Amino acid sequence: MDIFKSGARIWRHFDWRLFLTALALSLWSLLVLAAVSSPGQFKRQLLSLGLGLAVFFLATALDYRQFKRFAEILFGAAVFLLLVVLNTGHTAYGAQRWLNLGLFSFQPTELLKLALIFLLAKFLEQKQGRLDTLLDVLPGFALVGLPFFLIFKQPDLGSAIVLAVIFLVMSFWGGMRLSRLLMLASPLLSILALHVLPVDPLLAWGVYLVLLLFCLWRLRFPLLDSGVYFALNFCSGLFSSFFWNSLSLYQRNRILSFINPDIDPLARGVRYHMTKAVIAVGSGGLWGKGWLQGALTNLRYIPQQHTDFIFSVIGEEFGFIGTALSVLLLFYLLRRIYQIALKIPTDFGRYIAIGVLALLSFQSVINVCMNIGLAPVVGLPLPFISYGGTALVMSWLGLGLVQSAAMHRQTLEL
Amino acid sequence: MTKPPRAPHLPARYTAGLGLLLLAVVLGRLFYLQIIQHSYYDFLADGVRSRIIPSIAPRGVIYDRYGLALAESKLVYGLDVLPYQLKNQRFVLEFLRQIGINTRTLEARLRDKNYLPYELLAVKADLTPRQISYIEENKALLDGVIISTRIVRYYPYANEAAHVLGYVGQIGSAELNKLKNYGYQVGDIVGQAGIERYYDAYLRGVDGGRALEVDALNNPVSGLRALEPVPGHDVYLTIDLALQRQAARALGARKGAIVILQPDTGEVLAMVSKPDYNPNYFTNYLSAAEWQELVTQDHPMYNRALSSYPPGSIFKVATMLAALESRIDTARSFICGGSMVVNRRRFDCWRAGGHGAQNLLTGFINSCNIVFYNLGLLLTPQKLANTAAAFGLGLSTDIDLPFESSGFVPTERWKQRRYNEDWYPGDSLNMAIGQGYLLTTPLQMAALTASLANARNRLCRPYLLQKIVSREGKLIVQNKPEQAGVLPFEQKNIDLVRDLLRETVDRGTGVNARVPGLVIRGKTGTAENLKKDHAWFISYGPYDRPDLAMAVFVEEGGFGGTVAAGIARDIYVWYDARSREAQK
Repeated sequence: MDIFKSGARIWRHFDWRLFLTALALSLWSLLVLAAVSSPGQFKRQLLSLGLGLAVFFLATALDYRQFKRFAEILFGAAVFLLLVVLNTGHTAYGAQRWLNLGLFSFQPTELLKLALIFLLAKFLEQKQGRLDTLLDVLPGFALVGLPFFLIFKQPDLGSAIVLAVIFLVMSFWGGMRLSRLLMLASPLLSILALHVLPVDPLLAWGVYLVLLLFCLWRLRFPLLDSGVYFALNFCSGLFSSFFWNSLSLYQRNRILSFINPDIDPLARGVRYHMTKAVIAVGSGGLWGKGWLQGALTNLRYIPQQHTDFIFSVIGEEFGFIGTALSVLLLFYLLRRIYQIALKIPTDFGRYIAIGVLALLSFQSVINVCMNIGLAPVVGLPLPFISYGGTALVMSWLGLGLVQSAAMHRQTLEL
Repeated sequence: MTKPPRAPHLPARYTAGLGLLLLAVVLGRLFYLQIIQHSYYDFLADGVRSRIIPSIAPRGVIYDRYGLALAESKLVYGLDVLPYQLKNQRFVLEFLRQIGINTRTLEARLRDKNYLPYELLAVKADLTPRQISYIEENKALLDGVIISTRIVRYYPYANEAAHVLGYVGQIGSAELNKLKNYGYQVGDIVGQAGIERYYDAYLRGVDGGRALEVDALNNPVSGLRALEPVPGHDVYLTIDLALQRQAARALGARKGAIVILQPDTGEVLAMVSKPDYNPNYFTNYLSAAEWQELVTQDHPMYNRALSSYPPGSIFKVATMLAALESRIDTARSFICGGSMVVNRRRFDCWRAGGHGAQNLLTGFINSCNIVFYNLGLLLTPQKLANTAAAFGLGLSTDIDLPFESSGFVPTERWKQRRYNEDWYPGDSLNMAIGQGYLLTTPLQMAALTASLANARNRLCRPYLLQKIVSREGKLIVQNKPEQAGVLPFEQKNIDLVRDLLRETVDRGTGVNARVPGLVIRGKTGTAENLKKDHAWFISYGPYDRPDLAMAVFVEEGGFGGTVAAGIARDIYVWYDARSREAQK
């Protein structure tokens, strides 16, 4: 096959530090999961890791540019799978996220994140850094809008926000002005102003809209653009109840109680998870209670401790040493991706790397912060560490794409 | 396509700084939580061991009319297991099996991931004193095994009046959704049927609880807060337990129902439904054998007194009144040859050879179908339906019990709508003898009888509640008979029917109920059924000024005059004996 033509020569550029850091995180995850997952889950995670490594090396060996022309198809397929899962999917934790394929179940959302990165990279490359007018931006905005809406309806708030973050970060990197970026994100603020702030909603919204107008005037947007941004904000405000209410009650309450703890002062209801996670982390101390020795962990006191709250298990059983090590490993991995990204010669490849970086870093930060009481509980896994096969395989695939982009430097002979 | 790498632009400058800032925040926060605040969170983690011990409010007692407790609360010793404290699970399970406790459910739950290790698992609700002492003696070896006291519902008379009292159980999710705004919670024990269900809001109290701090061995260290439970109110019923038992005994092993009312007030003195069940079963975890007993084909849980059946000939009371009100000559004579043909369909009398010449009066006493078939043809269907409705048939009696059937009275319009068919003469024939589409409950027929028995012709509204009294003796509710209007018939017609009812027992089809020295009025009924006919007997007595009005219904009991009337006689005889005893 011609895609292997470049042969062994490219492997000189293989980044061992990236690979070994990710591998270390994966193995670390298995050690922690051994304490909290059932034997069946552990076996599945082991299989997923094997699959992830295979996918990683395959993606590394192949020239990522070969697949550029499939970006739209891949994205379309991911959206289609998402639609299927919305209608038939199997439900867990109140949201439809899994597609049951008999032998294993599969989370289309995770695939969609990578597909979006791939397609956005292609789109931004075509734009060549020209993202100065509304017309330049809108196709990308529409691209992220549809899956955002679908995932939001699942309702999977965390993943929907991840899509938005990927879009904003990649666009920023692709040359969009910060002010326009903020304006694109502003409809979300409109919703927050009406529903989340602990003050009179209409007053908050009014103040917010006035502020928005002021910003639009100060930032000297063209009149048409200003009109569109204001209209977007106004409409999202008008339909905010629809968006807000499509979240399930517990999700809304988690956000509300994070901003206003008085809603649940005894932490018996909606703040339950987070408070218990913080207690588990804090009780770990410097050295932790020891592997398999965490009292709260063994009592399964924190629900979902193998997925969203696995960091609290690390905190309790391995203490500050364990958490700091995990955080530093993750930081090192992300920093490595970033450094590689800067050296990638093609725009397309660099955008992919930045997208993967945005995906992994946002999930890492939010998940860790969720576990230590710095972010509301929105349900995002910790990359490479949380239990979850699709996410693990997709994370490895993302790394594979980054590696491939770093290694395949010569001009493609098409 | 490939371009030389551009110099790091604006985003690049931010990214590195932002990354370092986030790293610093996260590490700082971790340092704060795990090093500086460590002892505080360690203390909170121990808080897992503080536990809220609920203390369940005792339910109110249910009494009969003479103050006998029919349902009360009993203190029992139960066995619970706290899974995470089980040190030697195999030993504990073996030990429990040895002292005769079924551990199959427990083993399944210990394996089940849905049950969390710090949640108490209830294993057995009612330990015997022997089992308690075995466990106490070996307490040191049985970590995680807990003897708990709890208050359970207890029905001292077991099956007696089971259908009236109902039973209690954990609240279902559908009900919980309806009731959660009224203070009902998951796991609450609530009335599931009968009085327990109907008056649940009064019978249940307000639960209290204690927050306890326990040490590693689950021993209480200190009580923190306590809230005293408020017991539920006591409910006094109109039921006469002795009469109830006697009625149940008279019905014996047959399937059926007996309802006995006080004709002056409408108080329900007895309500029997057979087969019955033991409501105490629901207090404990049902064993397989007990469950089998409850799900037989005979449906013992089903209150037959509130269920609909064709009334058969006892409905002739209403037909007769309709005829008298329509001024049909009582001397009018019909020839009963055993059957008659209307529209090419044959309609039989119950006596194959026929009754010969019968007028309205002898026709009633002998329950001759041919006479009543003719009345059915003479009367309009609307007249029959109206007369039935005047007695409250076709509507629920609104007795204070859940799940009452309303029976059914067909009309021409209903048949047109339901089947898109005209009302045929055959339908009138069937209805006149209480067959066809007509359905009534034993309770409705008892109420009809009580209305006839009432000296002032008052319509009877049956009820079970006498009063509700709080634990401190304060009267919460005092029930009174409801004024429900009078029978809309001429006095002479009512008097004539009363005389006919007496004649029926003295020398007609109800002769089996006759007791020398007692005044019993009644009417037999045999309702056609696919398998074997249902037997009915409605009656009142045993004196000229009646104390009891009753409906006896025997499912697949055959001829009403034989089975049902005999059962009624037994009850009157016993009642008369008790009254004489009381006067002495």
